[in-house]
Amino acid sequence: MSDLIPNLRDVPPELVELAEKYCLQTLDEEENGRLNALLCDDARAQSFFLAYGNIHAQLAWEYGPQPATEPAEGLEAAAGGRLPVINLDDHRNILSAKPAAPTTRTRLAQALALAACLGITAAGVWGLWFKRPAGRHGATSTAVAMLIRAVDARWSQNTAPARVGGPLAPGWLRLESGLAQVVFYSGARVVLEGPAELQIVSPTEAVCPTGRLLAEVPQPARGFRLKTDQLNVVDLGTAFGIAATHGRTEVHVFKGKVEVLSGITAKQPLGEGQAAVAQGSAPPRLMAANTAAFASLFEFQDRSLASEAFRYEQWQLANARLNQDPSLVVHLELQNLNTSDWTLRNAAESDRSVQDATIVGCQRAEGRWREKQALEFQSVNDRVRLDVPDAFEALTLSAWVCVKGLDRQFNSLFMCDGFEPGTIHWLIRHDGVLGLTVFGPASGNVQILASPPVLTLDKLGIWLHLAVVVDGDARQVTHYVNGAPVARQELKLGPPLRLGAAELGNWNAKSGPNPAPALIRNLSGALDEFESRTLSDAEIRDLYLKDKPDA
Amino acid sequence: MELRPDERFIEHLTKCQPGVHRFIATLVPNRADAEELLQETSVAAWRQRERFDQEREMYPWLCGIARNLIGHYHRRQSVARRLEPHVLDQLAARQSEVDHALQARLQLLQQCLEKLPPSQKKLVSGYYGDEVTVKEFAERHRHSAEAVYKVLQRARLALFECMSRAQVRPEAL
Repeated sequence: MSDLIPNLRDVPPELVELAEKYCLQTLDEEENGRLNALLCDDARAQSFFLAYGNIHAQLAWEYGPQPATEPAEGLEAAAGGRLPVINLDDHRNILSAKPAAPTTRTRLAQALALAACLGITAAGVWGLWFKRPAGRHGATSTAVAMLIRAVDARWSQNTAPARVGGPLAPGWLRLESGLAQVVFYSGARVVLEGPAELQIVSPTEAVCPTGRLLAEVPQPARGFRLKTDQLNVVDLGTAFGIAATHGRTEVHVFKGKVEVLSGITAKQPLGEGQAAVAQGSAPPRLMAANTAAFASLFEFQDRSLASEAFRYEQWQLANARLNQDPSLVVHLELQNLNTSDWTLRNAAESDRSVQDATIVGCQRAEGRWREKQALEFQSVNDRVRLDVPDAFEALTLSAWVCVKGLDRQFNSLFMCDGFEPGTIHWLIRHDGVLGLTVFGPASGNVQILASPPVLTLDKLGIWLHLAVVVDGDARQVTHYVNGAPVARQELKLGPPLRLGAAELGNWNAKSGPNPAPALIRNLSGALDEFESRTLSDAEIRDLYLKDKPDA
Repeated sequence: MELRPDERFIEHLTKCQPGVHRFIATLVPNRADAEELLQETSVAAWRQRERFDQEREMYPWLCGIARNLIGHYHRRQSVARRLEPHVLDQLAARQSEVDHALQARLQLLQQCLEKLPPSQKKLVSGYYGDEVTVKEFAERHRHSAEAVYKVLQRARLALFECMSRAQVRPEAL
């Protein structure tokens, strides 16, 4: 039916113009906004846009590198001569005949064919056959620091607005006004006061051509370097302040010691209470450190700490109430962990059916606030095991997690061992979908309740409150992210639910010592609290608001 | 020759690739990015192959995988290049509705290309064949970038018109 695609004359000329610019990638911000507005809710505009874009897409395919129809010679030998014959579509090239050389498209097909023959994963073959351009994806993979707090911060138009709690890749932060705090992955913390520019170079290096900052460098981050136009400062385990302009730099050491290098003079140590001023090309002058000059930054730093301590106290108070609740089955506070401890006490007081959980592997890490502890799941063996007896008509699971990556097809949040009837798997899928698998009474009887892909790349590396409610009475399953429901579906399999032996952050497939890759579901991230009980929408929202890290 | 299930999957996947590329490249005009998303889609599909029901059609399943990756991609784009999530959703849905119509039109592409004036034909094949940006292409062939943009636009419009006409009156081709 050709009337599905409108004719050119039936489409507003503006849309045609914008569609063309879209294909050429020459839209400016306003035009792009216009295009989105024209396409929104307009079926005819959408059909046109697709048909127009198809031309561009098809031309790119037709004229792009031509696929060969024979696999490369080396490949067949490598596969031991057992390569299947793949019939690729015949691309008729209209105008120019290009020599048949293996191209990216062919190589992919070949790579996958090889994988099929040799039974190895496509990802492994990928690395063998061609390199992917580095750093084109995942902000998390190149991040070297994190923006942890900002107050009245106005960022310059040129930099993408920085997100509190979000990862920072090497690049520039341009703060027009206000205060912000960056934590480098080495542990160094920098408070920046606008107007200021900070170039994040690596976990251990930054450049500040203009602005005022206060750096706090704990022992593990010794050697952190900060450069200005005049000076290079190497920290030796301290707290120091910098006031920089293009013509002049001041370094004030408030604690410990730094080493200062300038273009002319040799390395100069600067101790506690000392300061140095370098102006133009003159050698640095010594003077006394001046805390008053950095008062606002100190105050910001203190307020950060104070607000964190405050939230921690609030959390402790709220927990005292929560732990008395009779519907609370399991509450792992993940606090007061010490390295020789393998058990996590269940803080629920009313229901003592679960005494404690067992930590296997895992590293201790920082949680939502500085004083909050957490468990980090990295290696394939890291897990927290618990055993929850009893059957349930309804169940709520909630956790504060910081997901570092979605490496597995299924990344376990909470999974009962194996595939036992009546049990559940709570997980994050590789594409960011939150899932709950409920196993029915008969084998093969399964319901997968999935949210839309909500754990997008920008949600990695920050603390999130995730929850899932299984309501056996209302026959409903709801997924929540940060207190807001993101999916609600009908539960087809009835209660009761049993949990039994289960794991947080991993899964015991009960399949023997060498599970297939699809059976490896370990989470890559950190957990700092876990609860299991029954809650309504309003209660879940309250739980999120009470506990979230930022005021 | 009997193909094993994995091999059959790959064969099927490869057959669907042109269509999936078309789906992606329509929403992701940057050719290199579209190629890369196609590769990512294929690898993702491969990783999930055990969950693919052989009775189902692979093309919509692959488009679903691609749709997610495209969503992630657009979220990473600057404000001037991004299709909003709800617009993307609608476009993806519309794509599956009009897919047959779109495919039918594309059958006509080759014949319509034949009918382009030679200068346009040459520029189109050069530009798409060379896989360069308009700027680079303009420099290489000593045109101004604006001139190249104009010719590309005229060519695309001509092709669009030709395909619309031919659908109504095939004998006009």
